[in-house]
Amino acid sequence: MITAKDFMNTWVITATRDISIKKAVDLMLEYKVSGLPVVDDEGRLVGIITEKDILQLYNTFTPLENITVEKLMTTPVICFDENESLDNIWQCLLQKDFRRVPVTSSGKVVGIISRPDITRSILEKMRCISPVGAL
Amino acid sequence: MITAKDVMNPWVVTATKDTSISEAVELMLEHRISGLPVVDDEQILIGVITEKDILPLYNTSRQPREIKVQDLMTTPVVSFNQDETLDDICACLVENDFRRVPVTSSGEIVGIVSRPDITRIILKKMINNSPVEIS
Repeated sequence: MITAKDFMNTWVITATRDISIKKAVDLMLEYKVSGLPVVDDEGRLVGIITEKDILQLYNTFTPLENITVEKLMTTPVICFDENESLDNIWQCLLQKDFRRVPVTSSGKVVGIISRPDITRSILEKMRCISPVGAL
Repeated sequence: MITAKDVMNPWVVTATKDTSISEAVELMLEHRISGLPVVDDEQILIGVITEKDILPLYNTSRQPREIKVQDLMTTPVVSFNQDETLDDICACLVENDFRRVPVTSSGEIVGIVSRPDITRIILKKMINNSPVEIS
């Protein structure tokens, strides 16, 4: 059985509660990710902030640099333990409108699994079982 | 009033209904995008294929080379005319779980507006601390 820890991306861009929305958007655009897990000082998962949360600000005139991630983040957040099966994570990404789920160990963020990670594995599987040159 | 054509990205990566699924996944991963508008020979928008449409293949026994974009694409597709307002597009992206909407002119695809495009605009607005203005 493939588990989260066999498959996850361990290089996770995270935010903390007290950083500004500006900083969070900068991070999303710079690293081309659609959301950031929010962690406390000890790396424990406390929420998630996504592009979709940011879109709500389109019509606001508040000085947005003063808005912290804490104000907009979603909490509690759906996450999976590192020993969870990849099948369960796949089901979650298929059924919900999440693009990514954080992976935790004792509550701390240790990785992330996103839809592109799964589509990449589907592509690799296709290449393995197709005759050379067929794709 | 900001319209779709003021903010859209005119460099759209598209697929046709005959494109193989493996090629569609390669395009998404290469360009780090979550979906491709599907067009006919005359660039008329006929559907959209997204990461989410690909995810079910994780568990399929079908021969991948038999699967084409037309087997998995969503049609009809929600799109906006190039003269529609950014406000309407933003509302659509907030209310639905779309990450992008194709922009058309007389049915032909001319651009795409995605969530990151709008977060970039919001960032600009935050820096200027003023209502959105596109120069």
